[in-house]
This record gives sequence, C-alpha cells and structure tokens, in this order.
Amino acid sequence: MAGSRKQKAAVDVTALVSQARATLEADGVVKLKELGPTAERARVTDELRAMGFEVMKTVVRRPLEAQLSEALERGAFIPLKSIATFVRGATVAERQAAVSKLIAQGRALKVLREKVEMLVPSGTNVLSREEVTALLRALGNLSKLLTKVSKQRQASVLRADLVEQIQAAFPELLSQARARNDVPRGNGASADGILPRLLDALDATRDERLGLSFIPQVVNHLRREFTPGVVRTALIDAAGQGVIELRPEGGVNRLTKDELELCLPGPQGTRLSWARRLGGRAS
Amino acid sequence: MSSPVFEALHADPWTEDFVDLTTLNARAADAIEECVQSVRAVARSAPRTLRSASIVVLGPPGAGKTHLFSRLRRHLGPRAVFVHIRPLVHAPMTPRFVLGEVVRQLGYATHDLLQLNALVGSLFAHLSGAATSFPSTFLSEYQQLAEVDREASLDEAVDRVLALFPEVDDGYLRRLLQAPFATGATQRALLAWLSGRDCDVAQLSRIGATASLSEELAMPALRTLCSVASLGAPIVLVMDQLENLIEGAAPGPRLIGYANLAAELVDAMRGLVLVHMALDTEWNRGIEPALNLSQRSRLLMRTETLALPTPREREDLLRLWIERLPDKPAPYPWPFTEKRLSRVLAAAGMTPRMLLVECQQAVAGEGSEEGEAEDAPLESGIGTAHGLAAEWERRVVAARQVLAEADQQRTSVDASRVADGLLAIAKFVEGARVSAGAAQGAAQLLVENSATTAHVGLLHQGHHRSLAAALSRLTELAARDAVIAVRERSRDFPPTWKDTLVKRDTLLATGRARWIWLEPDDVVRLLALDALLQGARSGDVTNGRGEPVDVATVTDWVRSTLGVPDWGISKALFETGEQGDIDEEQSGEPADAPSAPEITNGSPDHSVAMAVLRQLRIASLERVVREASRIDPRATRAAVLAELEANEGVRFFGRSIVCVRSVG
Repeated sequence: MAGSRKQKAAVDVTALVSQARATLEADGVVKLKELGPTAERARVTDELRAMGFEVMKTVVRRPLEAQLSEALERGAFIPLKSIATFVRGATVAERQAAVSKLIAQGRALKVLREKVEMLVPSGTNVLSREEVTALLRALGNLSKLLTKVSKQRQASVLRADLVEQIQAAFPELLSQARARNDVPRGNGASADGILPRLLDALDATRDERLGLSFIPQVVNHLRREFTPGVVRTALIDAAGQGVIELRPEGGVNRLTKDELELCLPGPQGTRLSWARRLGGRAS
Repeated sequence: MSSPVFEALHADPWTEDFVDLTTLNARAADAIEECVQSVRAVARSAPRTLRSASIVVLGPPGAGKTHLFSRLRRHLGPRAVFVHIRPLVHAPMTPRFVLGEVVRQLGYATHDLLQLNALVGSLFAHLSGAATSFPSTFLSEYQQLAEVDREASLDEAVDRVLALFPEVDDGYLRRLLQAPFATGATQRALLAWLSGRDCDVAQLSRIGATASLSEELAMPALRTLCSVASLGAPIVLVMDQLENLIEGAAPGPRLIGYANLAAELVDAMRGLVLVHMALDTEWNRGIEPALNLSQRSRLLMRTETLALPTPREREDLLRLWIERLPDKPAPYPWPFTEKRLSRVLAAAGMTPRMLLVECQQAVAGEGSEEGEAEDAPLESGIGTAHGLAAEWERRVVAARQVLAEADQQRTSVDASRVADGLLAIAKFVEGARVSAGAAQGAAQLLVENSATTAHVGLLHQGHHRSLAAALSRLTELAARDAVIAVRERSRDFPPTWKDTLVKRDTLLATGRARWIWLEPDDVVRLLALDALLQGARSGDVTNGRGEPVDVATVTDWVRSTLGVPDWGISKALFETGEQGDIDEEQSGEPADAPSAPEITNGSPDHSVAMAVLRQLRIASLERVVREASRIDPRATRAAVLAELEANEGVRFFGRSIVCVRSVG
C-alpha cells in the first residue's frame, strides 16, 4: 500500500517510569506530558503512584511534606514567601496546607525574622509562647516607661534600671556577656571605683515601696564584677561616708543560710541585711 | 547604776517621761501630723467630703516606732486622740474590739487631760467657733452650767453635729458628750456602754439604757466617734506590732481578717487616721504580698520607713540620755571613752535602742572599746535569763494594771486577750492543742488533748441576761459535745442572779460540761505570756544587756522557767478526765484556785518568803519582800533575802530577780 503508515515502535514503560522517577528525585516534580506517549501515560502514572508519588492533574510530584521535611532536615530556614523554591508542583493553597500540617505535627516551627515568616526545623532554639508573653509584657512596660519619660522634659531613667529591665527581659544577654567576659572575677578584688557601681546596684535592686535594697541581692547583682567580700567592704565604707545606711534584719528567721552569709555583721549580734541610699549621689 | 532613762529600752506608748530627739524620724512624724491637720481642716470646711487616711510606718526592731506614737501624742496633746492597739494574735479582730480599745484609751491622759475630755472639749470649742487648743476651758464652761442648761446645750451640740454628719448615731453621740460631765460610777457606766462592753443591770439603769451596745452597732459607733473627733481632735488609731499577724508562708486568716477590717475602717469611717506599724522586713515579705489590690489601695496611701540615727543624731541622743543620769562622776563623754564613743557613733546599723543599750553597758562598766558582741558573750545565758525574767516581771506588772482597770470598771478583762493567752499556753503543754472555735459564737475556742476535745466558752458578760443567753447556747452545744465554761473568779455570780444560776446548773447537769473559775493570777499570767510572746516576735524582748532575744530563746525560757503546765488554768483546761465528771463549783473549792501561801517560820522550805515565791514562781526580790511582809510583818528584807539565799531551790538572776528552781 502506497504511503503506508510506519509501524510504531514498542514503548518501554519501565524505562519511562525510571526516567520519571529520576526526574522526580532530582526536581521533585515532572509534568504529565513529559511522561511519554499519551497511551502509556496512565500506566506510567500508576507505577509512580504506587511508588508514593502524587499524581495531580498536570504533574506528578514528590509528596509536599517530604519535600519540606527534607529541606528542613538539611537545616534550611524556609521563608514562606519563597517556599515555592523548596516545594515544587504545588499550588499556593497546597503549600500552605502542607506547612500547617508539619507545624501541627511538631515537625517544623514557624518563626518571624524581622518581617519575614519562616519555617525552621523543629529542634531550633525558639521562644516558647510563655516566654513571648513575658517578653511582650516586659518590653511593654519598658516602652511605657520610656514613652512616659520622653513626655516629661525634666525626667529621665536610671541607667541601672534600664539595664536591669533589659537583663530581666533577656537573661541570655547576661549569660552571653558572662560567657564572653574574659576578665577574671578576681579583678573584682579591687574596690577601686566600686562606689558608683554599688550605688547603681542599690538603685537597681531597691524595693520601691520600702526604699531599701536587700544586701544579698546587691552582692549578687555585682557578683560578675566584684567578689562578695569586696562588695561587703564597699557597703561598710559607703555607710561610713554617710552615703548609705545599713539596717539590721528585723525578720523572724527569714534569711536563708546563703543570704545570712552575704549579710554583714551588725551591732549587738544583729545582721545587717538592708541598705538605703542617703541624700545625693556620690561621685 | 540604774536609771529611769534606761526604762526607754522597753517603749511604753503611754509614758509621760521620755527623752526625745525630734529631728530623728521627723519625716514620719510630720506625715502623721499632716494627716491629722488635713482631716481636721477638711472636717471643718467640707465635712461631706471627709475621708480617712492610712499610713504605713516601718522600721527594724528598736528603730522607734512606738516612740513615734509617744512623741506625737505628747506633741499634739489635745489636738488628737491617740489609740494604740496590739493586734489580737489568735482571734480575729472585730470592729467591736477596736471600739472597745478606742473608748478604753479615751480614759488615758496626755498632759494631765483625759483624751475623752480633749475630744468632747475640742468639739465644743469648734462648735462655738473658737480655737480648739484649750478644750478644758470649754468643758469647764459646760460644767458650770446648771444641769438642765447643760443638757439643752448638749442637745444643741448633737443637732449641730448631725447637720454636719447625718450618718452619726445620735444616741451614741449623746452619751459620748455626757461622759466628761458624769462622775464616778456613772462615768464608768457610760464608758462601759460606749465601749460596747456588756453592762450589768446597775450600769444600764444608771445611764438610762435598756441594753448594751450590740455587735452590729459597733461600726456605727466607731463612725460616730471618728466623725465627731475629726472636728477638733481626730482619732489616730495606731496598729502596732503587725508582724504578729503573720502565721506562716501563706497568708493566714488573721492577716486577711486584719486587712479586711482595716480596709473597712478606711472606707466606712470619716476622719480616721489609721497608722499601721510593723517591722520593715516582715511587712515587705509577709504582710504586703498578702494584700489584694483593693486592700493595698486603702492601706498603703503612704509608706514611711524609719531612718536610723545619723552619727550626729546618735551623739545628740547620747547627750540627752547622759544628761539625765544622776551622779555623773565625769563630764561627757562619760560613761564612754573617746575611743568607744567613736566606735558607737560610727557603727553601721545602730538603732536608737542599740545605742541606749551601749549607753547602759557603758554606765555599768560592761562591754569593751571594740565592743563586738561576740567578744563578750553573755555568761552561760545568765544574762539572757536575767533579762527575760525582768521582761516577764514587767509584763506581769502591766497585766496586773489591766486587771485592776477592769476591776475598777467592774468588768471582765477583754475576752479576746484572754483567748489569746489560752491559745498561747497550749504551746507549752505537751499534747495540748487549742484552736479558734467554730461553734457559731457559743464557744470561742476548741481544746484538744490526747483524750478529749471540748469547746471553751469565755463567759465575760456583765449582764445576767447576756450571761444566761451564753449559758443557754453552751448548754445546747453540750448536748452533742464536751464544753468548758470559763469565767473570771472576780466576776462571780451574785446570789440574786437566780435564773443565771439555774442556767449554769442546767449546763453542768448535761454531764458534758466543766466549769473553770479563772483566778486573777491566772488572768495575769495569760495576759503576760501573750504579751511576752508577741514582744519576742517584734524584737522587743531583750536580754540582760538590752539586746533583742529571738523567739526560740524566749519560748525555751518560758518552757523551762515558768512551768506553764502547772498553772492552775493549764491543769484545769487540759486535764484528761472523763467528760463532764468535773464540776469544780459543786466540789467546793476550785481545783485551780491557788492555795494561800503556807505561813510557817520553820525550815527554809516552809518560810513565808518561800511560800510567796512558790506562789509567784518568778518575781523581783522587792516584790517577794513586799508580799512576805504583808503576810508576816516580821519578814524584813534582810530576813527574806537570807531565807531565799539559804534555799537551794531558789535561783537568782542577778540580785533583783528570783525564781523557784524546780517547778512542779
């Protein structure tokens, strides 16, 4: 027969499946039309589906959660805005659903870095909900204080109070600072220049209602810079100069053993456990 | 050398003779004075807007909190009425208790003028449009009026006060205004009625009242007092030693009860100046955290922390004290050396009381120039025991005074204080437990020991009907539980109270009731023990050198020295017998009534002095001499001293305090 059709060659479905799988492993997605002849496409997709790939209307893809998990396991921090570069073959809605599912399963965490939402591995060191709430409160207070002060022309804030509040809100800062601090504590054996720091510490630890600072707290506040012995000596010196007043403990067995050790011996067998600043600030 | 100067170690809020350095803690004193002035000014200019003020004054032991009270009382004189209240430790404080204390202390004088007269006199002065500085003058004018005219003037005064403060109770106000002009028994009856105590029939008829003031009228009565006083001499109500309200780590019912009462007083009173005094650290850790926001807003209107004396103030104080010492062998700085004086002036943490202790030690030739307490420990605790014995003696004297006042008023000692004392003795009786009762008012306490549990009803009522009602309630209670009825021996029933006697017999006939007559000595011991333990908690109990003694040491001393389990009331209250088988009234002589001292002059063990000492257990030598000479006029001081010294069972603390060595 003239012009007879050329007989079609037999199609190797297994080869098509292998090829598609390789593409899927590499790219995560392959278009249906790239799977081979239309007649064989159904067989190929069946094979791929059986392997755990997801067959969609126009593409075959690796499961979205697997794609995301793998990326996270590699330590990727995935900006949700550009998640498409990590997850192929999915619509926006499907990506969002996959992200939510991972978070719900505890396999990933969503964080905010500045304004960008990111998906990070579940083991990442992040703040708990409670920590966030506490921080929000601390910063809110600080913000309120600063706002109030900024509105009063003649008012300011004690630097020591600010540092104290920030350290209370971010204890990591203190520990990091301690870790970085290569100055040995022994340097604090010298009382030179301690008075301003002592007064700052008294301000920072002062109970506003009583106007008194608890001496063990003052010693601990300065522990990073000075040994307890130096602080205690400085307290006595300051009292001698009339800069502060040391007061005896009036409580009934309220001091712990550690606190007792940090307090100063007072007259007639008493312990001096409280200090109060007197008059103006010493230079 | 002993001097009244050193009596100031134990602050007495009502002392007239004390050394004061007005610059010390002037800020706190000014704060209270400002409140008084402000209350008076608002009361006069805009009475409808008048509110109460509340100040918290804090300081370590010996900083001068109670001294501040004395200073203000003396400084303001008739321009304010001062009331000093130690909190009830074991029973809740009620408006009625506060009312009772306020009216009782209206009977105290400042600058020889009764506070009652200051209050009423300054009110009259204000109503006359005159200055209120000389209330006595106005009282005298009223006094000189014929009774009819005076009554008319009082009516007019009541009307004018009602126009200013419509909420005052006119009946209460009328009797309050009458009180300064009444005399003798009538005035006592008026004060008893005004204080909310249960008056007897004679008292009620004397003042023309049909019944005592009921519990629910306590707040209106207080409101009336505060409003009326605000026009001339505002009431300054000082609640001292509040640290005694702390029961443990968590806020207890006493503290919460106090906070509620104080908040209610601030809300409901007009023109009251409420001052809360406590140890600073105890307030900070134990009291304030227990207050809710509403209570804080009412109680903490202002907080003043007492300062310690500066070196200059210390020197001024020392000079003031030393000036008053008799027979000074050398000029100032005697009794100090220059070196010792410098140390004392420079030492950190020196309270006024510590300074006085240093002065006392220097006068006695004790202590060293270095002066560290550790360098000169009290030998074998003798100084501590000596000091505690003196502290006990002091509180016994104060309790006797309270008892004498009650006797004079023909009334019982405040039942709440007796309840406090009963709760206190339980700490020293093995296996005994006393708690606040929950028998709907029929009984105040619940006593438990190894064998029994019983409700304790304190029968303090003065009127036979009130007493009969209380007995009926106890009888009802006795139908299901064991009951102990306690009444002061001095308030025995007259034979004319037939109905009351029948009620008592009915109670005892239930077979579940016991009757205990509380002897005067036991009342004194209960009050003194309660005061001693409260003082210890507040750091006000000192050893022989005047240094504070901790609660544990005081408790040990009480346990080892006072023989609390052998007190008549302890034996009677905690005895383990079959329920209802003891009716001391029917058995003739009460088991807890102390036997009269055996008067023989044979062996030292049976001497008059020993008999007296066994009765007193611990006392000053002078008192033993006094009591012994009363029994036997031949007992001279030398004889008593010789007898006591010869007896091995007697222990001397120094040369002035003696006690029976083996108690039992």
